Amino acid sequence: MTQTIKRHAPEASTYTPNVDILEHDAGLTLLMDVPGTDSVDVEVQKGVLHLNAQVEVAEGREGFEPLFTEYSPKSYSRSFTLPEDVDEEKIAATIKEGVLRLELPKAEEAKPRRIEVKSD
Amino acid sequence: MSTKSLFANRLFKPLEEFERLHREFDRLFSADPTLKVRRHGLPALNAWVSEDSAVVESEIPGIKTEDLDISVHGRRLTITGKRESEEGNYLRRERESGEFRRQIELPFAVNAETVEASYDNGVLKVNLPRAESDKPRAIPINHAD
Repeated sequence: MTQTIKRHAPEASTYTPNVDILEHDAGLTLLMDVPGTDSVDVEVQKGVLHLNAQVEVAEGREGFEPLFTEYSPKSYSRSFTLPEDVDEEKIAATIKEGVLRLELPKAEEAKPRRIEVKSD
Repeated sequence: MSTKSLFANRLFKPLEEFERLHREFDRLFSADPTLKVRRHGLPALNAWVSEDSAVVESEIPGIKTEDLDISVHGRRLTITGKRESEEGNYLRRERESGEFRRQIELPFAVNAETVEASYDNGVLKVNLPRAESDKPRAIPINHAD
């Protein structure tokens, strides 16, 4: 019997890492798991946030045989459309213990501003 | 994905939300299948062995080393720990938190005193030298003529 259904196995060279997004009064906090690296490219282009990180992958270990391999480190890549009220200039990023933390503050303009009405 | 997030956005544009949902589903179903191991809460391990030692690695980002416990008994390595999650209002939650435990059986006994572990950039690396008592020894064969 011939196999007519082909399983889609993308030859992906990157992982889509897990992300948590928290909302608070001042804006959003984004947490992304990027173990194995301490530098991430954070770029905003036309309202889209691009996160990319390269991970060094050891081809093998001299003198060692693999006993079991449950994961294979790859580079990370993920993008998000930013909500319109995020102040792109004020995005702050830190990385610690393989976790990227982005603070996405809300723009001042997004907060309601009272306009004074002057009467003559 | 909570419905709360649809309405929390002050500029609620129905068509854009549907497009966004469509993209999220695309992303979900095209994710690398090996990610499933991580999604089930057990940290994935890689292990290598040589004649004299074993090396075990695991990707567990965002852990405090005081929340991590590595113990060795004979051939068995046990790694237990927990990852705390942040308090707050989550719009999206994909990262696992809570307690985890992994136990693996090595091909030889290990001396607990010589085991070394390091944690860098969220990667735990454990170096386990083979116990002297478990190293192969040549046995002389008495041969009677």
